[in-house]
Amino acid sequence: MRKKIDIKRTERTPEIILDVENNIFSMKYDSRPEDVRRFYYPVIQELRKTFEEINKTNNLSYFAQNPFIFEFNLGYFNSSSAKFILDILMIANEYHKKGINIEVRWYYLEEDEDMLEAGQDFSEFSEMEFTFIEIKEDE
Amino acid sequence: MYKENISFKYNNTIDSDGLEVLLNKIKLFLNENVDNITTKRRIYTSLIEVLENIINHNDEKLLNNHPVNVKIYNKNNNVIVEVSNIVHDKSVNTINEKFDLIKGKTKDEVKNIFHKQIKTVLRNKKNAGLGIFQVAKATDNNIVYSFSKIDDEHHKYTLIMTF
Repeated sequence: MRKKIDIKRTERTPEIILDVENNIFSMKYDSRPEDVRRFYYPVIQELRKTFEEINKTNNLSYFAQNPFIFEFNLGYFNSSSAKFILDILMIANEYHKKGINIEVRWYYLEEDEDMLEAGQDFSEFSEMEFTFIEIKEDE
Repeated sequence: MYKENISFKYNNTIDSDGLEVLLNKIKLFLNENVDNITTKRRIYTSLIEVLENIINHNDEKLLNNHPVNVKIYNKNNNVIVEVSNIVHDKSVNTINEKFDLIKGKTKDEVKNIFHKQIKTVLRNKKNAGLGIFQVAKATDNNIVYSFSKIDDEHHKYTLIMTF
């Protein structure tokens, strides 16, 4: 099955992948779209639709053993993107509460306190537990 | 943390494409001159917010006819970033109102305000207005700004951020 979302990276927009076969939603690189709403709206729509479908299958025991991973490995994101990243995490939280086991992984560069703190803020706002993963610059 | 006597200067009109070129130059300059990842990120983050605000909140005529000035230099062990541009008189109050919310606030108070603003934005389903709070957070509220009247309709707006 093709990926439900497969957005390639540009200078201003992140790579976004929603791969249901492999239980992965991932966002990488910078996010400062010129029209942030226009960029994120279809992503949020597709994500919600996909999780609604997953929820209807009622196959929650599968996710207990195989969590759906939300990976955020962002370079820079502007304050307008922050609202939409939070919207994505709120969807994760909504379906996590409905019983789909979702894990959030937040990557940050070694010594990049602000990216770590941004992840901690998102974790607090979305009421989702994050796993924080420190990476080296050349990884 | 950074090399001594660093200096970056830009003085030209700017549009959306020009912003990309300028940001690439700034990124290159910061990579060459600032070692600390957090400081580098804070300067870059702040400049993106400030420069995007200039593009998003000023009309084309204003952007085409008046240059934006960006300077990055060091002073007393700090990196100073100065940005100035021309704004319509009507923008002065809007900018003042934003700064009134953070004036005299400590680093932690600014962080709390930023968090409150994010929650408000989330509740209201709007995406605007976080930029200046992001800058205040990135600079630990070391921001000074001023307006000087240049003609009957415009002010020169100067923002000085210390990192």
